[in-house]
Amino acid sequence: MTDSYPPPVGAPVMMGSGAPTVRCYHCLHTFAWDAQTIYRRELDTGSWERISLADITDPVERDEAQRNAYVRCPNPATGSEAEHYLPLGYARYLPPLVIGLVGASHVGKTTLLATMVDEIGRGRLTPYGFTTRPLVDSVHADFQKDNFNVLLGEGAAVAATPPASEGVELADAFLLTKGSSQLPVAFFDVGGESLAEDDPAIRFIQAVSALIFVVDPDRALGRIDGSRDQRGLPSSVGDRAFNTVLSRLSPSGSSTVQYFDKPAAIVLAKADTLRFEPVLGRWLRQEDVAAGVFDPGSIRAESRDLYAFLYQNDATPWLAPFKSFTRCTLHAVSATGGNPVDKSYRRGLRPRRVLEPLVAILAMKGMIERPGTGQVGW
Amino acid sequence: MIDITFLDTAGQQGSCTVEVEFDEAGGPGAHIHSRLLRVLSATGLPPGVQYLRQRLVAGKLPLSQSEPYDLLDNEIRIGLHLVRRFRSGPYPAELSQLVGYDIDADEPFALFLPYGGEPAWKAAGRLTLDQQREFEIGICRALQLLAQARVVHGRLSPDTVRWDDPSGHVQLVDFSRAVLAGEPAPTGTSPWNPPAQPGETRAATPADDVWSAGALTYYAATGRQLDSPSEAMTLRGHLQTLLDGVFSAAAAQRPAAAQLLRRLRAPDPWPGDDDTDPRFAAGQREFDQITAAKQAAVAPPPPSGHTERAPRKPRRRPRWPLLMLLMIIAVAVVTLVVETS
Repeated sequence: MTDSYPPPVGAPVMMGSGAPTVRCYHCLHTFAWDAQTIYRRELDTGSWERISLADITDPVERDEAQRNAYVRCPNPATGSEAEHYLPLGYARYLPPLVIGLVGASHVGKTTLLATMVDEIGRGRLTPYGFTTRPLVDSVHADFQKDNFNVLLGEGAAVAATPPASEGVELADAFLLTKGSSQLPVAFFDVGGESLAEDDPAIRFIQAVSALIFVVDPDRALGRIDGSRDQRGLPSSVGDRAFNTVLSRLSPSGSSTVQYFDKPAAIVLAKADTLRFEPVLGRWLRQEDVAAGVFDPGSIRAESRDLYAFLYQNDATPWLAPFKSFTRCTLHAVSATGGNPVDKSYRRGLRPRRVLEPLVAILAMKGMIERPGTGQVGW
Repeated sequence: MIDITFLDTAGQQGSCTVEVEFDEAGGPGAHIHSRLLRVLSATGLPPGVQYLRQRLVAGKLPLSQSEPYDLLDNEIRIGLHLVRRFRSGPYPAELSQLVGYDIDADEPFALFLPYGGEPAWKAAGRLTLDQQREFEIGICRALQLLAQARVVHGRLSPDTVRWDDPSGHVQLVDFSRAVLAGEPAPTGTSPWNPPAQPGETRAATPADDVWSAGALTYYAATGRQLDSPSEAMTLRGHLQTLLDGVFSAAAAQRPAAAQLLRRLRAPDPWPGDDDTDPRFAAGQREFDQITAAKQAAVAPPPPSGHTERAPRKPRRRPRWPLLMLLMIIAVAVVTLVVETS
């Protein structure tokens, strides 16, 4: 297998030496891995052990050493980012698809991500030709333990994501393999407070290559106390996390109307709470893309219906990403299928359509070879 | 006495104190019970309601048995859809009316106004000619109302179609397997539904209910179940005229409910209004406008059917310069030969 895949959108950044480069999500510095030096983290002490691949001649041992290894970002130490490391897989297979989840606190970003990760782990991307494995086993195991197992075992809400000021780390990451191509897909989930308060530590947003905006239906539809203005309409401010991220990104394009040239998806989370709304009920009953059903016309119809639903319910501020990104889809998603009763899901944990946004992003990135993928997001 | 709290169809909290008059289990293997409740006191119910029909998932089911919850969910979904569809006028008596629900209760339930009449099987074959005509008009009115609401019942049968002898009214109940037109048609077979092709997945259409209503009309008139659609070809007289085309294999060739009402010379129960919310339609228009603006500003999307990573075919060079050259050479050769000779 080769260490690269045909980059479908844009070309990978290349340094003068010709080695592929990666943008560090901690400090935004761009660097190239020297293909010789890796680091391994001692799980007990948290210290880092430097390993030179030049000292390992046995190819089997060499492969094993690289599994779950890290590389060190060479950027000069600044503040809290004194020394930081990235998974080797992140820097080795280029360019990674870095997906940031954006949304207010308690909107359910982590719950959504936990069920997405579980679906990926179950091989639900197989119909699209991908085999998957965690990029770093320990990161994946920790994420599963802290999130999905909590949902499944206790029916409890997962813990709030730490604020960005405590350091931005990838939540989980996978290596997607299709034929001889290998694509790292990394997910970032930062606490809603950090996103809403324009925390300087969320500069990682500049490093993402795709965004999933998670809409809280309780706030967007004004269903909870304090979410309506004096006229009784949902807040015109919308989601502050959305606003912060949109204000920090740099638009591209030369025309007077400029758009962000990254794939984006708007997810109406907790859609099970709206399942009796005809539009939402209809889409939640549709086959998941995880079943191999991929229909660009259907993706557009769902996007159009959800746009109209939010518009109809005066939730237009939550539609800002659709107006800002060149290619953007909308999806009705339920991470759990219902509310837990007495700390258990009476009907079991039943994620619905949680992979639709990821598959749409992969299609917008040109990584799904099906008829009509070029239409997705337009 | 039982105290019940629920959400009404407008999403407001309601409560009532009730006594259970009777409790019907939903049959072998089914977990949706159907209870008749006598209302002792209530808030959040339509005025004057003395009885309620409660449909509930009784007991705690194993995780592997989620179907009853899904069926109840769907019954609430369709019930809310119907209430909203007919909110501009009195709710039609031909359809059971949802008044409340609690899907997060220990035993999730839906509340309906009491059903009208009795299951149709009790009256089949015993109707007078006038009653038979009222039955036919009633079931066609119900179908026309469903078509107006874009709902396909999908499980019409002598149990889910009720007949009220004194008033001569028909009522459709149990929308647990109903879908909106265009959604995947309910799976499973029943002698009261049009035969499905093996492995067929298709979009539901009101014509499915027309087939079932035809079979039930025959059953109500004769007391006998239609053995096969071909048996309908032997019908004579009034039923032959009314049911003409109803059992066509192709859904598109079956008459619509409105056409059946015209055959019966009966008025349309809901002359029709557009149920599309203008705000929703405005949202769809804005989506289209923004999409068009983005495409114009950035780049037109590739044509439909394009596969983004498919390799480009090499552009063929135009052949006319080569042809011109060959012609010049040919003319030169001919000229040379002529001059030489």
